[in-house]
Amino acid sequence: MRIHPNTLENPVVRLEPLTHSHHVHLRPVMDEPELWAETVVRGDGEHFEAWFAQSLAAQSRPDQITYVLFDARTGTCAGVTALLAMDPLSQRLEIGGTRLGRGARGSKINPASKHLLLTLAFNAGARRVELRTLAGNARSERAIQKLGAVREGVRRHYLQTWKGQWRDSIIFSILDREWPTVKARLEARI
Amino acid sequence: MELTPLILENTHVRLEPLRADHRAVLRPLADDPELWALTTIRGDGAYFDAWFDLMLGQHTSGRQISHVVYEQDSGEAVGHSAYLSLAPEHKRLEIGWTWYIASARGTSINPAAKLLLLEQAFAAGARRVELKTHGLNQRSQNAMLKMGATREGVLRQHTRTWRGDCRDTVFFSVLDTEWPRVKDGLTARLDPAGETR
Repeated sequence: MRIHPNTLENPVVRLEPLTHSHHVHLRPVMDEPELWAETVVRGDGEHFEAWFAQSLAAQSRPDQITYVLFDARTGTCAGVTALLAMDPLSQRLEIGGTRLGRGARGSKINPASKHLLLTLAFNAGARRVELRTLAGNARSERAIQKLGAVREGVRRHYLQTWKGQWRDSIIFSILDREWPTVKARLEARI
Repeated sequence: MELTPLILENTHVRLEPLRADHRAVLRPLADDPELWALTTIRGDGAYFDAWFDLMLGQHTSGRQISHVVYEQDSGEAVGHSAYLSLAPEHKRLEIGWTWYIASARGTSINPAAKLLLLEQAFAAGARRVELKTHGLNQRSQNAMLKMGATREGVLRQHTRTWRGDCRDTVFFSVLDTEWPRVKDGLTARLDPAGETR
């Protein structure tokens, strides 16, 4: 399982590996407190610079790739998503860090980007793709369940948000043998 | 949460932070294929040095705190256990890479070592201690349940073992709020008659 940071595209969405040039695109989209209500760090307002610098620095890690999402028809920036914890030995990775701006939520952007990332992962030989959300984030949990991922368990008291609240982490996964079903569902939605 | 490598001991076991000279101590103990039947890497025979180098490297770099477990009665080394996946920002860690020679299994060694490791972790401010094992490792799962850890779920096709199969990983945890109960249980097992109370 070897995944290189390349641009991914379908008729709905384009995913570009994050570079410093995306600063101007992400600044306005990330400036929405609701996106950061349940996160470890925040990236709205004055917090954007630190978040952007941290995300950019993480691009040099071999085990993760952050992508910036663009609406393929309008060219508008829609948010960010990432491949995380890529483990070639165990042939697994996680899709996470997804933040969609107001205009992109509930649209085809999310299923279309999941289709691109899951196709990339399973074509590269992944046997397991993990998705996590924090307990209490009903929107995210619904989105993951709609995808057809299997809920595997809950890590209790897993992390502390920037507000100081402790949150459980809910873990879902899609296995290689489940991918054809998930793929068909996604294609029906897109 | 700040954890430092310390010698930990009670009347049953002594845990020594891993040193280079423990290589010769652990080598003969690790030379039992049965110990490595369900593990991600093996440490018996010719595989021992790579295993030991990995442990010592992680320990020296501060990503893990490894311990050699000694039995107090005999003074003999009987196994190994480590703190890993240290996440001080979220006050959590994992206890793992735990193995004991056959004669130490089912004795007070493991509960006594767990008592020391959990005590140090929660005293240092941990809010969550995780324990993971192979989905097929029933002995280890039983030990975790007996200790009073909560089974939280199963990560399917999670980790490649040295045999090449992709194992399911069962994960458990003990929270700070549960520690007093777990501690009482472990203590009672080590001192069934309550003699020293």
